[in-house]
Amino acid sequence: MKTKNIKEAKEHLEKLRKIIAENPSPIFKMSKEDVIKTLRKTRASIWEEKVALRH
Amino acid sequence: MLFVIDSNEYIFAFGLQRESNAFSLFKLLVNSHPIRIPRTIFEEVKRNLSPEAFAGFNSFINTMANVDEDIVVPFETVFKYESNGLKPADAFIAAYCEWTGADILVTENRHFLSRQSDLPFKVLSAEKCLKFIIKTS
Repeated sequence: MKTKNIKEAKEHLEKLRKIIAENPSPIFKMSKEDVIKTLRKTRASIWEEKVALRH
Repeated sequence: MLFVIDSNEYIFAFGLQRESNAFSLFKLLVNSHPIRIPRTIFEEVKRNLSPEAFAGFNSFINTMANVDEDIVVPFETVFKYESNGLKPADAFIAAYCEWTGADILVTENRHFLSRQSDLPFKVLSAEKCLKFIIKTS
């Protein structure tokens, strides 16, 4: 298991939130329920692509 | 305790709300507990981020955990969960949690695993997970 770099992880998390606050992609403007629905769709399409690659 | 964090929690933690439960959970996990992430969840988050935000996400994950390739999870374990009625992708996440020996899967997706019993790991929302960690530490 990877050893965490706590200081760097905190810095990256804050920096990432800042990037997203300045230029949020559509999912960050959605309601909680819509985020969950969107991610379920994303999961389903990723899985379909994986299955298609195997055949 | 070992944690697997579902894609929705990453999105809620990175979002605009200053003190979301997901953000508080990540701040706690960074300091204290190991997390694991499979390629599928990594990809789900990636597809919903801008290229610049993805670079930040990638850097964050690289300081926290390795991304496990999906292929490492035994097919038999995935099939077991599919046979119990889970959709293939959800079955994979359940199998991944079992394979890693995770104690807790954190997700806001209430439908996920709701029909499953006797899981070898807990399924908790970020809010309940925070309370659980505080109570048990």
